[in-house]
Amino acid sequence: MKKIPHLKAFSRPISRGKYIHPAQTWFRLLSIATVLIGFSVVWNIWLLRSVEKGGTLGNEVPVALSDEAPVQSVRAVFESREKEEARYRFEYVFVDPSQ
Amino acid sequence: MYKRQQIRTVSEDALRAGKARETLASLSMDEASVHAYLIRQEEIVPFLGRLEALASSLGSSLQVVSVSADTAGPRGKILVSVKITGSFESVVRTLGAIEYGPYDSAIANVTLDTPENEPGQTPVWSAVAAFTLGTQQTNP
Repeated sequence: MKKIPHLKAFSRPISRGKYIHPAQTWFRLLSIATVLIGFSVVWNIWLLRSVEKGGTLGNEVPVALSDEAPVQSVRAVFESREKEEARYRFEYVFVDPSQ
Repeated sequence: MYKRQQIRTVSEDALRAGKARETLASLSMDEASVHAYLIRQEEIVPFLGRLEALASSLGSSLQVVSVSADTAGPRGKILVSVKITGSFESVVRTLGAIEYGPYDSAIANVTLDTPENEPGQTPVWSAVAAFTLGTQQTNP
């Protein structure tokens, strides 16, 4: 079977000179695996955090939330009215003009 | 692979449904908070009773002169006319408390009568005020 010259380097075991070093090969393999697992853990933690903060996964279009501004403005109006009512009841002083 | 795609689709649907539910719950709360400022037509009698109690707590007396429905605008309104009597201070305090109460209201007009001064007695003032109240639309 004829081998493609470019792939020759990948197909032979990692070796130095004529000798094969299985411990070194295993060490490299485990190092790469550890790095990949670490990357996966970091990625998943980031994903979890972003979902917890209301982010979305993939290309999903987020559901548009209702606009709260009009309701907030109504609340603000009635809060200011409430304060004014309290002033009329307890704070303002009215002097009888007929006296 | 197909199963994974199905799980993903179902998860996204569940997420969307959850968000829609949250939005609906928020909308219902907003609707309830806005409706709290509007008087329902069947609650008008207890409301007038509350106005009388309010006037009494401020040292004046309040009489309801007339109540009628205002059908001119797009939204339902009730026209209420009241007569408040008491000292000048209590009458004005009552008018202010009614005008700025926690409901959708606006005073349309006020007539304040000058009292007849009797020596040695606190002058009694009277005010006739007409105001509109925003009402909740009754669902058919």
